[in-house]
Amino acid sequence: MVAKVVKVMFVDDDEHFLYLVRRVANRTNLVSDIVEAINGQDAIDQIEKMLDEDGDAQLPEILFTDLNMPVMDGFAFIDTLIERQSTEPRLQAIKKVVVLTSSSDPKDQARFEQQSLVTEYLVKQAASEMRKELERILIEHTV
Amino acid sequence: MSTLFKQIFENSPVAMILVGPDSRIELVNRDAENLFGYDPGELAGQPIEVLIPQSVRPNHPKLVQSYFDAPIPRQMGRGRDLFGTKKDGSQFPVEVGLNPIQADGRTLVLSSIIDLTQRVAERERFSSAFEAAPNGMLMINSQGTIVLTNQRIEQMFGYTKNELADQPIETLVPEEFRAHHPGFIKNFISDPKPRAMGIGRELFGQRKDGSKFPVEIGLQPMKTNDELFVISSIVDITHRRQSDIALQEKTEELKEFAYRTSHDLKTPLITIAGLAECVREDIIDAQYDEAQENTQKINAVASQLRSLVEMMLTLTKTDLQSEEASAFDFQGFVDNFLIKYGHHIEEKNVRFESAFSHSGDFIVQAARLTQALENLIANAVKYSDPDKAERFVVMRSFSDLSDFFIHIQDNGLGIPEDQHDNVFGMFNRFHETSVQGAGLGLYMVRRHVDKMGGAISFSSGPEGTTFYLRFPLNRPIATASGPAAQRSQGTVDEASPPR
Repeated sequence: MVAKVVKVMFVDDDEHFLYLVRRVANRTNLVSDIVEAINGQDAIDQIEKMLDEDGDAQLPEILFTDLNMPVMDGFAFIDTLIERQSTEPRLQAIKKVVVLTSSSDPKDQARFEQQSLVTEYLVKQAASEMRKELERILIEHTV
Repeated sequence: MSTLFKQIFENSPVAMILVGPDSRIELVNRDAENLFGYDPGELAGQPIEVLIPQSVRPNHPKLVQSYFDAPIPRQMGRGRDLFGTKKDGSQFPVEVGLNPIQADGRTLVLSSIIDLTQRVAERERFSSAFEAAPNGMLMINSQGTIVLTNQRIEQMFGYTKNELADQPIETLVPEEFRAHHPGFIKNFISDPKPRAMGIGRELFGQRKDGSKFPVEIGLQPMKTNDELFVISSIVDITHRRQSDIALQEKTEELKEFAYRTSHDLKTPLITIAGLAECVREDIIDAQYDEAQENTQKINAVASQLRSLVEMMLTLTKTDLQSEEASAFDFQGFVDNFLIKYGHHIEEKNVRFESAFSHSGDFIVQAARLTQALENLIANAVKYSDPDKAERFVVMRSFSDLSDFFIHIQDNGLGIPEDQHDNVFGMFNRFHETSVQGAGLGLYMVRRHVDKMGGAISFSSGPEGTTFYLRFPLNRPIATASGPAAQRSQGTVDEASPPR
């Protein structure tokens, strides 16, 4: 078993999906902490709070986000995060963002080709498939 | 007169009459007698005036006299339409050639008469077909001068027939293309075949007022005697353009809808499958409480999915729904709304009021308006602001001579400013509490209002949201029954109907 474990954050407005993905993540035994946010704004708020409270210790290394969410969608969230990273070096602790969405629209996917923070674009699928993908990403990250 | 001449004269296939200076018919051949419907011998000695219309008879002897004063071969009545009169009084179009001849020392006039009945009938057939064509029709000569137009051309371009006659065809061509146009005509004349004009290009006509409109033009050469004419058939395709664009927009919208629909249906299905997997694991792990919770979640997601499908069906019907307009029963609407949504209103502790101060009946597709208003009011209730001391939703109506207005005002959460452009789009949700909403409600409201010929707008801020519906009244309201009484439902507790 790989010894190192990863802190992750899931951003999704669907509480049931969050439950599912948390279970899947837990069962990989590759994650130490799971933070959940229900939309982009909520995620930004939580990240800022982590910075205020104890520097970058709490920050997730990998962030999974949905795209279609109310209040602040995934596109705006990722833009905001990149913008914030340019002025706040501690946010470099967030190493990668994985888009985890049910949108298989190539137009959506194409919007992330130009920047390096988003490393994967995953389309939501059955739990067993998602578990495989999640394991792959976590292992790739820890190796 | 020689016998030979007489024989030639008599047997000529052309109707001929020999007239003396006193206007009397000296000689007439068989063909002329037939043409005018006389028996042999009947016409000789008669004044020539018997063969012309009554109206021109009095002046005719003078004309005959002046011809004898200067007798040269020529056509009679150049530029005028000439008519002959038959024995039975009927008239027919003719062409008359005049030739002076010398016989027995006297000057006589030999007139040859051609019956134009057939030719005139053909010309009339042509021009009535030209006139009756559903398209604009115009004919130019090989120099590009307009020689004939029909009424559709007048309507299309805003010129009268007289204004267009003898004008260069470029009058109707937009300024920017005029310089090249004579070259196009030359090309066509050099190889005249029926074809469409400007294939692959967008063509425009220019009206008298300078405005331009898209046209489709078919070209047809027509050869008469030695001259080549070009007939153009012109169709104003403004409407076709517009419906093409509308169709394109509709197609885009349908694509978007299909894409979004499949997306929104897929997500809950994945969740259901995932939760079912969890239940299986929970049972294996003997986590029965967890399993039970997860089956409840499956139920919840399944019922969300069901209402989403219902919403989509409703939306599809929105477009197809056809309904006779009738007077809208405002109070009846409020009563029904309270039956349907009373518990929501109660749950959110919202005060719902209505104030109807319109005059006369509002004639509208009642089911459409009901669906639109229900959506707006239910939304206002759903997104009421729990942090405000009192929550209210007010429905108001009023009217003037030209429009009918309905306003739905609330003091709820308000729509975030950065979402204001998307309010009536598909699949938009503005609040995190609205997870179960499909984001189709306001889109459907807009579609309904569109179909009723109305307009919808809104203003929104932290103090709340107001939706403004405006419907133009096509006719003045016949009977003004005065402002309806102000009604207030008070709090729902007092006013909610028995359940």
